[in-house]
Amino acid sequence: MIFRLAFRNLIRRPVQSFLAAGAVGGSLMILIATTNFQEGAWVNVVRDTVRAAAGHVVVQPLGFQKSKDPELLIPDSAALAGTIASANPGTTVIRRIFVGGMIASPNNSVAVALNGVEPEAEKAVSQIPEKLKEGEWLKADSDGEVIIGVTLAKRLQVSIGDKVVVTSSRKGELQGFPFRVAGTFEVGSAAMDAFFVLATLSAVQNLIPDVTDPATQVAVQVPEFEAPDSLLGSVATAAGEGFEVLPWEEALPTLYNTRKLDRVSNAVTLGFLAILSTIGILNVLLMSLFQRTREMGMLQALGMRPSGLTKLLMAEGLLLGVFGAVLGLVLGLAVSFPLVEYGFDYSMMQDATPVSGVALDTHIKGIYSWSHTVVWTVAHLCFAVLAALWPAFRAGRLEAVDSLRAG
Amino acid sequence: MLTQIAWRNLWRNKRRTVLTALTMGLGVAFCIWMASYMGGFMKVMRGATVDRNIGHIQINHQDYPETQNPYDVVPKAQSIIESLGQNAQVKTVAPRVQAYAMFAGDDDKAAPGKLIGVDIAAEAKMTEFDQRIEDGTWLKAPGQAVIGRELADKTNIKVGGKLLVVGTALDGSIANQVYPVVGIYSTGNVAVDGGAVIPLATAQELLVLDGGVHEVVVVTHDFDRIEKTKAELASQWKELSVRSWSEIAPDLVQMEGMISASSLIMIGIIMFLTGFMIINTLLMSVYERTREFGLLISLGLQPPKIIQMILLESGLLGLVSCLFGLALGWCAHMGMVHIGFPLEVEDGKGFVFNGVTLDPVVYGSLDPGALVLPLMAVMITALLGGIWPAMRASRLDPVVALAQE
Repeated sequence: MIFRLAFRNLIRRPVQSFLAAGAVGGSLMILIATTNFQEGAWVNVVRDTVRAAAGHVVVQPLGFQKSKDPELLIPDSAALAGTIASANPGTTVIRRIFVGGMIASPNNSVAVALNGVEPEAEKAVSQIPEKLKEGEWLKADSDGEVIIGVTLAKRLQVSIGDKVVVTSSRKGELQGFPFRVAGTFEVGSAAMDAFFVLATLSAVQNLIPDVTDPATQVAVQVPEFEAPDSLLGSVATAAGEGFEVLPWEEALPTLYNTRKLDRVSNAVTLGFLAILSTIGILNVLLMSLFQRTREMGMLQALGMRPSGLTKLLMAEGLLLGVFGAVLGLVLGLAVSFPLVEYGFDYSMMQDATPVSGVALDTHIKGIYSWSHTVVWTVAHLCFAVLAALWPAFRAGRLEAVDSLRAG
Repeated sequence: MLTQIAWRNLWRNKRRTVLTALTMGLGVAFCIWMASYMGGFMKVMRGATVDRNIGHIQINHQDYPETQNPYDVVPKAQSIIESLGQNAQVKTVAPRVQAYAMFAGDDDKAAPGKLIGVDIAAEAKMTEFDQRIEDGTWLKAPGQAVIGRELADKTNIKVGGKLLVVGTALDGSIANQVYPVVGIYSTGNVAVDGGAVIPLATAQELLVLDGGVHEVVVVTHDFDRIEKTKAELASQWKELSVRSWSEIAPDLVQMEGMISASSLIMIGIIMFLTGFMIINTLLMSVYERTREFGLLISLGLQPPKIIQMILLESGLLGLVSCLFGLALGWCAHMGMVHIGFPLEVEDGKGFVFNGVTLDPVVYGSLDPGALVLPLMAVMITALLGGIWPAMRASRLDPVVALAQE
């Protein structure tokens, strides 16, 4: 009964009702589309970065995360990786080693980050093999070869097959090792194209003769986007004492915190839009109340209780909210559809931005983030009801006699 | 006269006017807050990359930007520096030498990094490098070294300790020297903070450069005239590479573009939403006054005048909104200036972005030019929002309108 009355009141003023619901719907549409796009972007970023720069869980030497000291190493890494892999069936376990050093040609010498990787395993997780400009990706037996970025190749003035010397230090001793350039890559990030060098794990291990089978990182990955919570404990148990075992959120704090910061700042912006549309509803309801003061007096004179007027106004707010939310949901999903299906390529606007040493794809696809969609929709409904509170409360306090005299 | 009527009409329903103006004002205030936040962010980025590192214009050997080949020294650098000293546009000029080297201290820890040789006095004057010293002092004499915070952490070198530098000299020999460390600096630029700075002559001696320099860095008086000054210098030295900071750090320019694009989108969205409200407000006020308009028309007020009056009302509403927005936005900006916005991501350290470590808190910085767009957008939205209600009011048939209750 109340709802029928409220509904009739709303369609009596179609333009006003439509504009108020339109403000709610517009804001919800923007929120849903933005959130779906942003979450989709983060899914891509997190998946690529976690795979290429770490793993869902990483095992490192104690204290490495804080000091990044390249002298800290895991000895007998193949044995450890084997233990972890057999204790966690279905996971991929890969090893990496990180060394700082200089790379020199007859023309120039440049400080670089040298990464030793297992060629086959790395190929499955890194984007660099797909972004080779010239030459070929490392093979299991290519111990004397390095893959370098195109900018670095220009600075060293070397091309495929040329010799370079990698100098690194171990326990205060400097050692130089000759390598041949097997390939060049271009990932679009200035920092990576200029300072990132890849070689096989065994080749980099040769630079460290005093440790048997060393590695800096044993990374455990699962095929899914998110690893089960139990993985961390299970890897830690398999690894045993003497290592730090970290989830990717701790191993890649910059990535994790950047996502957190981005989510917070987006929530602030989007929440603000929701507030604007709430004030819009408040305005419409207040106005319609004042326009209808006389009518309210009449309803009271006919025997409607003050609480009935409150309910009526609340019902109007709720209906406006429902209409706006449905409108926003439909429009929001409609706008999300092309973003999810076709995505958006920003490469014409910006270079690939590296996060935690991984250059990201510039083609971003959204995802349907249903949890956010539901939260935002419910939030808009609640805002609409909240906006109705004040006018509803005022309506409940109207004196029938004064109301009838008004207008 | 018409303005006065419009103004009075606006305040006949105070609550509605205030609520509408407040909403639009909130939108403006939000845009101002955002501009202040982004401005502060860009200021830090520019400070760390342009003011404290790149300078405004750099002059190199033709091939150096591409190859960074240490053999490609600037020919006749001394005469170029002297000529720049005479140029009225140029504020400061300083030569630099650059190379990569391995660094080590007394501990057995070594790290590769960037070695920069600078003219002690000129560099301090130009980039205020001496202000970036956290421990110890700035370079005072040849043969000394200052090192970056990151390098100090990696190699455990302290002020008063020794820095071993191993690099490749131009004559093909191994450059190998030990310098006393007199200070530790922190610029926020990741590459610079991972390296060391030594006096120009010391670097030239180490690398057997025979007095050569790799870049001549120029800071001009007028930031907005940089491109023009650069073009003048480029035509003066055609055989050299002359680049402005925007060519050296194009990602920074891209970022500014992205930021202004996203503010533009934000302004658009806010105006789209508040547009609904202003149309609503004006439509309601027109409905309410149907009878009154009927009376005005029958008294001889021409429809164009009615349109004019309602547009005046919406314009005045827009003006009031702007005032609200300016007041609220000013408060938000002051909050950004004094309290700031936290960007802390790792204990005590800010966000690392494009090779720059930001401060853990970003403080607001507002370019007055950033106010123009949101304020104009409010006025345009208000006037556009007034058109439909105004047309409706002007088309009223006085007989029907007067017959209304």
